[in-house]
Amino acid sequence: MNQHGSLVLAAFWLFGCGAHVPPQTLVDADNVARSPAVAQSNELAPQASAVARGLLQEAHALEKDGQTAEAGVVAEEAIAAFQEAFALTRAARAQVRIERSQQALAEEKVRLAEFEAAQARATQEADAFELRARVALDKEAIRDVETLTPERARARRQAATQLASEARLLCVSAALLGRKTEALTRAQSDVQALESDLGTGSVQNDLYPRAAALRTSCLSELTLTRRPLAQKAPDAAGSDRLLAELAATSAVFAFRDDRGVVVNLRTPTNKEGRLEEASRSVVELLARTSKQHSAFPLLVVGHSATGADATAAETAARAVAQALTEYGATAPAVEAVGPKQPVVDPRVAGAGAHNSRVEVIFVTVAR
Amino acid sequence: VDTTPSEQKAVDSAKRRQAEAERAGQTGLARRLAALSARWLAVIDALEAAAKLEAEAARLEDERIHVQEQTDRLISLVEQTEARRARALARLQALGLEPTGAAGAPANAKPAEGAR
Repeated sequence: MNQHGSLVLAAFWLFGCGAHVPPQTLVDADNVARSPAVAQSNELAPQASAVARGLLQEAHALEKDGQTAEAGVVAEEAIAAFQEAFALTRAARAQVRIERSQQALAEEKVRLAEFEAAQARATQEADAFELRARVALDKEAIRDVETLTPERARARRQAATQLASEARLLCVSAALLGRKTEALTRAQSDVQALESDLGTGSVQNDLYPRAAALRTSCLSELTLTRRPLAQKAPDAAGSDRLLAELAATSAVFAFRDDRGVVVNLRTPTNKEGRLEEASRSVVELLARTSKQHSAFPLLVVGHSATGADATAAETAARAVAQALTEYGATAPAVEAVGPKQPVVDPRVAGAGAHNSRVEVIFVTVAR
Repeated sequence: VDTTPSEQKAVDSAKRRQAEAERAGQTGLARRLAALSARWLAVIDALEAAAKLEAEAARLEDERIHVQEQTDRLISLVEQTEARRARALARLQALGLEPTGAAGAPANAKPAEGAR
């Protein structure tokens, strides 16, 4: 081949092949189409992937047709379409994570509720056993009292404080149900006197028996109040329906005690004493429930972990009571008992989180 | 939500080139470039939606872990309370108020009357 021939061949190669050199965006788009991410997007975002592949084919067709500029732009659009498919794949994967997490969260909440119920039952049983033991020990002869060890004296004093506090709430419950008897007035006055004695650090030996007797008196007044009311309207009296309704919401954990049906709000307020947003919906639910069970007056009780945060617990109880009223419930009675009624031994690590609480009590006509 | 600066640059570039093509009378190319900028905007939307869903998934996973931790703490508390219950029962047995050897009702049984 002569020199001219060589040049022609070179020119043919240069211009002929040069005309078929694809635009860089088309090369890039081909590379994207071959990436491992495409396999996943074909599965999780099939429509978007199909659009991207269609655009890539169109770009190749335009390039073959000599429309290089258009081919380059369509190839760019194919790259964008692949990116869109990848983003939709991420979204689909996130959606799967959300669904799995929602299911796992729901299961975990059920598990938590089960353990809360187990804890409430164990606490009630332990309290009942301890109360019986305390009552039995109280019947011991006076000579035993004379030889009280400091530890035992402290335990008796704590028990008396708790019993006096329980007596007060039982008397308040009886009054809320409309009890107006001399015996109730006397019991309430005696409770006040006993709490005053306990508060001033009295060392009298009869503090515990007085507290136990007063608790019995107040419970007796409450029972005597309930009996005729329950006989008058037996259907409305029972707390079973209320308890079942509250349980069905799964928003609250409710249990029964001598006062009625109790809903425990752990930390309903923030540090400023204002109701937390998360608690508002629960309080609204309780107000709605209260309106449907108007025969049961509401009692809100603030409990603190220590004596130092008793005022904060009272503020929290008042905030809950105010919100209940705002949501349409009849204005509840509010009581603050400070740290006198712990549910967990305050010496146990983490007890404060359980002992600090606000109880909303539906004072039921029958247990 | 993730920021999408490179995608936004691609939108701006496509729009600029579209305007140039229109000025040059290349209507076909301008139409293709308009489609390209619209496609990049769709990518931005999809990326933002994906980021939101991923954040929600992460939030739910965190919440599940938080509830799981609460449950774990509660399990420990239940164990302590059951131990307290067992000690109180043993005390009652020592006082002769409960038959010895009785394990008492488990915590998942019906609560005792007059518990308070």
